[in-house]
Amino acid sequence: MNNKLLKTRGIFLWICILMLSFQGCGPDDPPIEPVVKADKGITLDFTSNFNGQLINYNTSTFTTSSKDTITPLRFKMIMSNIVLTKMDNTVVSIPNTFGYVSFEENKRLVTLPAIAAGVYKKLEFRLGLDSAINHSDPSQWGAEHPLNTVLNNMHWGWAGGYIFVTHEGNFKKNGADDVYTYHIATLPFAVDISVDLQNTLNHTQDNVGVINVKCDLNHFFDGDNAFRIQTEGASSHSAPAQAGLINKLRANIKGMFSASAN
Amino acid sequence: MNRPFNKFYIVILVVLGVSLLQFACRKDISLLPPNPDYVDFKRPFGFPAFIPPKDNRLTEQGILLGRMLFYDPILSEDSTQSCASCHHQSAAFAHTNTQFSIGINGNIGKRNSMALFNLNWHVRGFFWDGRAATLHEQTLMPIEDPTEMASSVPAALKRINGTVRYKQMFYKAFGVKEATSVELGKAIEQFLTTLLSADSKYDRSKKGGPGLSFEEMEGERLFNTENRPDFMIRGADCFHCHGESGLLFTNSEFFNNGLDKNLTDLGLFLTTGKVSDKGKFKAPSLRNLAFSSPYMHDGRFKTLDEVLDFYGEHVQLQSPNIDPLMKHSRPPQIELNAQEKEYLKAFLNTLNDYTFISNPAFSNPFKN
Repeated sequence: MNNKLLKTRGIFLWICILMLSFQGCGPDDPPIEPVVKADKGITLDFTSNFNGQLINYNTSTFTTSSKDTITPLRFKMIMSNIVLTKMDNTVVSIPNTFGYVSFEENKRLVTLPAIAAGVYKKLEFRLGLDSAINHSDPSQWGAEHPLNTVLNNMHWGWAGGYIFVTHEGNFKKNGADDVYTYHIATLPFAVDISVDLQNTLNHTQDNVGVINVKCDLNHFFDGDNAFRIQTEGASSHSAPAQAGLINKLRANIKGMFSASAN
Repeated sequence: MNRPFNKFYIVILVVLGVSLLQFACRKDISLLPPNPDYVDFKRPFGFPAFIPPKDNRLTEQGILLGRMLFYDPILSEDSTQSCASCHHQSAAFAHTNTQFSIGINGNIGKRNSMALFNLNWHVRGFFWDGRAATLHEQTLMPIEDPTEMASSVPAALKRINGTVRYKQMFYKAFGVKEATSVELGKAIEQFLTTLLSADSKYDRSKKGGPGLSFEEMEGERLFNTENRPDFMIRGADCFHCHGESGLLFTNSEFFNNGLDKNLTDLGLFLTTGKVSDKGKFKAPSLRNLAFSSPYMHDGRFKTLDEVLDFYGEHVQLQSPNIDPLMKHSRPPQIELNAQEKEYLKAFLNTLNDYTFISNPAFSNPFKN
């Protein structure tokens, strides 16, 4: 064998080795696990009750302090402008983060992005949206975004924007079945909520913090204003003419929430 | 001199042969579709984002296969009835002029065939009673419904896999030599996914095209206005359940709209078992109403006038589980006058999509 032949054989052997090596990297191999970046955000977990009692939407019946007998059917909220305050009074705003909560559909989690570590004592958020967001093109939001209109069914249309708070249900009117439908919308009727955490949240960069937010529907009818459905009105659509009724409910809604960290 | 050279090439050939055998034995590679032509789904202007099925990417082969299956009576037990028998393109894929469709054995269905379009956004279930959670799940149910195709999925698959044409098409679309219920559902799902209705006069006006007439705009205003005579506001209050938000004209939720004081069809209750769901049915889209009469889950109304008369004067307020949205207007009935009804109908007619009902991509492929 001459040198040329030996060289040719060597090249062929290397090609064969390479071919077999490449097959070892084929699609049958188990996929490489992606590196999962730890989520260091905070989750708000909303639950509802009526004066401490569990609510089964569509079936539970309660009596308000104003002696209305009610059966809640729906309670939904859109929220924005979420702010957390640390023990040292440092205010941490979380812009461009929105939430949608629907108790009867058990949609109750609002996920916040990563924020600075620290000990937090207060949670604030707005039930409602700023005008620019409220009247922007609703088709811009992703499929799982809280403002996706198919997801939340809280959008009235381009003119009206989103409903910020919906509470609908049945009540007894002079012994007969009747309904209440309260729809709170438009910027003047947004509701700013501020809640001191019953126990502080020690948020580190290693754990997802959870704040449990309880929403007492009893306060909807019995907060700053004792609200009798029969006398105050069983329906609101946030027309300016209904400002009196809406503002009574807004004042009550401010007192609906309590929160504590896990 | 020649012998070692030949030995060397024998070794090379053996190695190459083993390599080729290894490739050939790998199932996933041998079954890959030869040339899948992926199709990008184009979300119509103004429509909300949605989550596409993660395991069923659209391909030209899959869509064509689904379209053929939709129009092929092979799915029914006696090969006489296809999906298209009760879902006509000219009727926006509803069954017009028929209150109840008749299955292969002469069994009469108990509900009106729903129109089929913009199904990707039906996130709360399919059918009038929501018995299918997903579009994929929905595709196979009519095959086994005794009032429709009255067959079984295995029997339908046997018929399908017995044809050379479908075997080839399933291979090209999904890379399988024999179709299973998974690929059958995926194919029909792909075709149904493409049924987009987004080119009505209303859609064009939203995109900057010719605007609506005065009558149509008055109708739109009534459509989107709650009826509050106590505040001197007159409205038809359609939007709570059929809102124009997202251009879908349905929120895809389930309601008892007060058709009957005594319920004869329990609707959503039959799916969920919840007493509070008795009498609830899916709110359909109000697009394409001119093509898809009759109306309501049981097709009881033949004309839009009958529908408006019902909402104006005949809502059964004592119906069990009637939705609060049906009662909250004061007074409870919406009393539109004749002029207002004409306005409202004029607006509803702007939602008719003539492009959709004549789109050749959705037509019967066996007639081309």
